[in-house]
Amino acid sequence: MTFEIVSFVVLAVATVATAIGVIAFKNAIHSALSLILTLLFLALFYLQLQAMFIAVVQILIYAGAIMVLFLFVVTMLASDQDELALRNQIPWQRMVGGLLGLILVAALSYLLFTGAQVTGTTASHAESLKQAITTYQGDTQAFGMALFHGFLFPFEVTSLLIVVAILGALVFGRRTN
Amino acid sequence: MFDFMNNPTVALIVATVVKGALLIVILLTAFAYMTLIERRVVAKIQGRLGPNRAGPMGLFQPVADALKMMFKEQMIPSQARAGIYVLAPVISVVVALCAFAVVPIGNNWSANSGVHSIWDPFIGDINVGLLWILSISSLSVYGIVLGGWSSGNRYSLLGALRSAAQMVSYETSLGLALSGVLMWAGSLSMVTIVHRQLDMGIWYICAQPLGFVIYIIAAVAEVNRAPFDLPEAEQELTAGYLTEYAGLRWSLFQMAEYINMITVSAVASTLFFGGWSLFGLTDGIPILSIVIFMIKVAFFLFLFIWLRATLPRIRYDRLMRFGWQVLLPLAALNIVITACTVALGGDRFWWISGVAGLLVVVVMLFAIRRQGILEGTHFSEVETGKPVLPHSVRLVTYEQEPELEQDEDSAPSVSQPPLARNSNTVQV
Amino acid sequence: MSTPANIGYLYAGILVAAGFVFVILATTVSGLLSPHNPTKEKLQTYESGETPIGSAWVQYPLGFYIYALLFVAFDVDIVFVISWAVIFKQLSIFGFCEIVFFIVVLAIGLLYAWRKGVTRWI
Repeated sequence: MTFEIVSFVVLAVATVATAIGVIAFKNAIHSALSLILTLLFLALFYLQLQAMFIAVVQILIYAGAIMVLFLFVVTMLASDQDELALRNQIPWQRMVGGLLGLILVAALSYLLFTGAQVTGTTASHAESLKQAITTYQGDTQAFGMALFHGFLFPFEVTSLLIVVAILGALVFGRRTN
Repeated sequence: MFDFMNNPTVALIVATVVKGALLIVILLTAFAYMTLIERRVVAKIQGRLGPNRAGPMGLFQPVADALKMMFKEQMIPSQARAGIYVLAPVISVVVALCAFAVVPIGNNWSANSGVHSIWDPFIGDINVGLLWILSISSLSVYGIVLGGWSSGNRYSLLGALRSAAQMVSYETSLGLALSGVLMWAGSLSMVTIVHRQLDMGIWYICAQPLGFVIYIIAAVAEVNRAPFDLPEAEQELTAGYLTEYAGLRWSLFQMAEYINMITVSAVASTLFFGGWSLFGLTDGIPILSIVIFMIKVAFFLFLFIWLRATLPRIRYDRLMRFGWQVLLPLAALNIVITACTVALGGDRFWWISGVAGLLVVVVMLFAIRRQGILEGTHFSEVETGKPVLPHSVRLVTYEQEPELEQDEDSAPSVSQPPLARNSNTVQV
Repeated sequence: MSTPANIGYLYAGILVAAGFVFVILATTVSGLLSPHNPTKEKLQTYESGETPIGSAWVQYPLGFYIYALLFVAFDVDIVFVISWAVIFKQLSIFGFCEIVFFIVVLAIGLLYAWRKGVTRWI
């Protein structure tokens, strides 16, 4: 128990620190690296919750694919622009950003302190997931079972979403080349 | 004296640390001798001698190379971003070492799949093993991109971007090709996959020839080896992302490349060639299973060297087109074939997908051959109708003067001497 | 500690730590052994003998970026296909229909794009 608490605190501090780094660094590459670290730490959180599959997928998709995209953007644009970074592009952006951040913090802490109740369909899905994990040893199998039995329609809609994304990238690619 | 080993948690940690250290030592030794073997084999194929002076048959050459690397100056180019420049090779090596953790090197010491010991010859049998390898190896892009970017050299940056684009392109085919195996095995754990092959009585290569061919092609591209070693194309890019690296940091990058090669070979022999098993020969003797596994891995490593000595490098735009337009649809086809076979009747009908896969491979080979003859070596046509190289092959985007652009760009490809491609980039 | 997930945590931690220790050790030893004598010419960017003009950080063709964009979409695909593949035997014919629908939707989309000539740049 103590091990879990200690590692949670260490991880939490590290995650928050790297997340602050994302917005605090003036060099875009350093920000991107900081974001990669944040995502890796998030994967460690999942590991701590014993969700091996989600942890690995977090690394595969977020740290492995999306961040490569980010890094590409940063490296391909002329990046000797450290001095540009501090200029405000949109008026009021800091104020609006701060306001939205405050709302987020307020909402999260409201949920945290009132102890949100999981009810309705979400609860039954969570229950079926729990059963799947005990039935099939291994969380990939459990995830698959839950996905292909409980969430069939969202899954098929996702395939449409992916097609749209691919088509968008292809069209974009033809424009640029 | 060893009382603390009675505590299972402590014993587990100690065992994992010892096995991890042992694994690193083994991988590094394998890396060192791979460089020697590669140079010797390539030399033999080309009718040369290769390094044979240090010790009998040149056996001490890796030691000499390592010592030389230790004594080389570690400099940081004045244009480079020092922090990331130093960090990039470290990321490469650490990521490469991590990926190997889930590969079973041999059978359980008890030779009984039900009885486990903390000293079994694999670091971790986690139930998402294969996804672990995929996700960790997708991180290896960072070492290359950051190394190329921080060098402050155009060759480096372009080489890094090429390499990264190539790796992500072939990773899709790699992942899809592996899902055919997963359909038969029903598990992501590498240990379980080997046992399923034993239960079924065949190696998955028999049921998945198409998946294997796609995997091995994608794997060669994934580890940036010839004929897909575009990032290191000397004639175009000097040494790609390695251009500004020297001494120890350079050899760290090389180390990462070779360790990735070993991992890829180990995954190939585990998934498609039954891992440590050999027709029941290793049933009683666990130590023999380790030897068998090493022989299988050595075969794939030799295949990598052989490919390098035999095949010329592919042009970059063709490489990308091959990945997206040929390999990816074939991987999807492989999934459909396998799904049909498994749905038809499970394990008994493995030969259907085997025969169908072989057929597809043969047809693919003929089609590629035919296309090569028809297409010749013309440049790809763009919509203007003028023959020019695609953007991905050009060094920088020119603002104006398309005439000049065309001349400058096509020059390097045309003037490539046919015999000049034997690289010396692996001499450590 | 005996649950699988925590063990995985341990492997990751130990291997990353061991890798870092090895690399730092090697670099330090080499740093102590090797000479340190930088000159202006030695530290200059290598462009095959030419004196480099300007910075290397200019804008590069955006084509590379598109590949990464495509990769993200296909990577999500891979995760779905893999999580389906491991339980395919248990899903039986029902799962077969699901994935066929999934792949057919994908194939129709890509075929349409191919017919329209959008993929010609790859």
